[in-house]
Amino acid sequence: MEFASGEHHAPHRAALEIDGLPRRAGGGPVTTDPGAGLDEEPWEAEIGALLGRLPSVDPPEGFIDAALRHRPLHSGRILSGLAALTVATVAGAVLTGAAGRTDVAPPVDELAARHATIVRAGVFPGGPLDRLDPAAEGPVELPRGFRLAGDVEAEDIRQAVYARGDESVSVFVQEGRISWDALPAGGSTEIGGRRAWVDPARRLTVIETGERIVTIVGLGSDDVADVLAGVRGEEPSTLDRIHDLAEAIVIQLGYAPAE
Amino acid sequence: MARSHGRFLYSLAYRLCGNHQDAQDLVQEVLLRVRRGLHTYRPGNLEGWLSRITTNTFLDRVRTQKRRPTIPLPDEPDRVLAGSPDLHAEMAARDLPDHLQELLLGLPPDYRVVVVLKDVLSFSYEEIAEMIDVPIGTVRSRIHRGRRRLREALAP
Repeated sequence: MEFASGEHHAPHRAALEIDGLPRRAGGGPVTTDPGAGLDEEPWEAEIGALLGRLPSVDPPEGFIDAALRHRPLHSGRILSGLAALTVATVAGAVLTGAAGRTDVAPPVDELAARHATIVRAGVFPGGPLDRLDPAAEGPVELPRGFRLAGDVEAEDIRQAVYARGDESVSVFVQEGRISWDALPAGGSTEIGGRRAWVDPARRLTVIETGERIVTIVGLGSDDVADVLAGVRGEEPSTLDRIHDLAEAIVIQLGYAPAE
Repeated sequence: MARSHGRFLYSLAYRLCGNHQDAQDLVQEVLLRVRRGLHTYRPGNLEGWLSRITTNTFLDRVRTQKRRPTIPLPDEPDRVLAGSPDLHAEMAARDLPDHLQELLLGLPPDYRVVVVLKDVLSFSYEEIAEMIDVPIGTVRSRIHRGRRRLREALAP
């Protein structure tokens, strides 16, 4: 909801009138706010009416966009969103110097819940882009019509949400190496030569890339391949490697098609 | 979402801070908290959720920085001003928004928050109590005292 300047503050108030408030016999207003508990005195209504006339204050031109681009990351803003996914997935072989990093258990249940919550809340509506960070790297559009609907970072895990009609996909990127023992049993596999964990029923895919852990929620098999192809960088060698990896994913995961 | 509500956030921030520089700083911090907490949002009163983050951020800043002095005013619950000042006539002779904003800044931050939420943004007592996580009676008391201080400051 967006308000026109000067219209969103106490629109029901005008001058000294407090619309809709019943009057007591003595003339004082009786608040209709059930939480008020006590009657408001007439002078209180006057003060409230005066304050209700205060106009909205517009931010300086461009401030909101600039504020949205301001993004102090906890762990350094070297990579963000799908740019991180691109590098992590494609060039993971280069990033093998992960000694000293703490093994972490990707909170797959929580990430699946985050994805479901955002989809359910409609915070990132499909269609026109409403990106929280316009300066974030990564593609705006993926193959098969998935478009970036928004991105957000919480608890050091970056989430990019893509939408295609009623379908949506979240790509989470976090730093660290996977603590495999902490993941539910039964889902271990290999994707494109990398160790991975999958839960086809919940459309969860976790891939370790050396420096970062990529968790994809909501994709079917074809879409996994396409998304990974879509996050290719501009370097031709990257493209080739992505295609190889995508083919391997399709073969090895055997996901059910996206509904 | 954050962009479409940017003006709402900014206006609230300005009413709480009283100047553009502090309002911008506050909005920056609020947007960061919004990003971090977006996954906790549940469908419902989006403006209430945003206002909660904004006011809590504002109060956190006040408590840690204490850089905004308040104008000391007597706190006598039963004080009644002589006569009945024509507030509107008084205000008509002044630049109303600027003067009211100055008076708002004279309120202690805890009072300012609830008065702005109630009288400027028209949230209910119940909503405000939930936003700032204090009993509704405390909200009612702060609003009453805040309004009274404003009335006293407006008295000729």
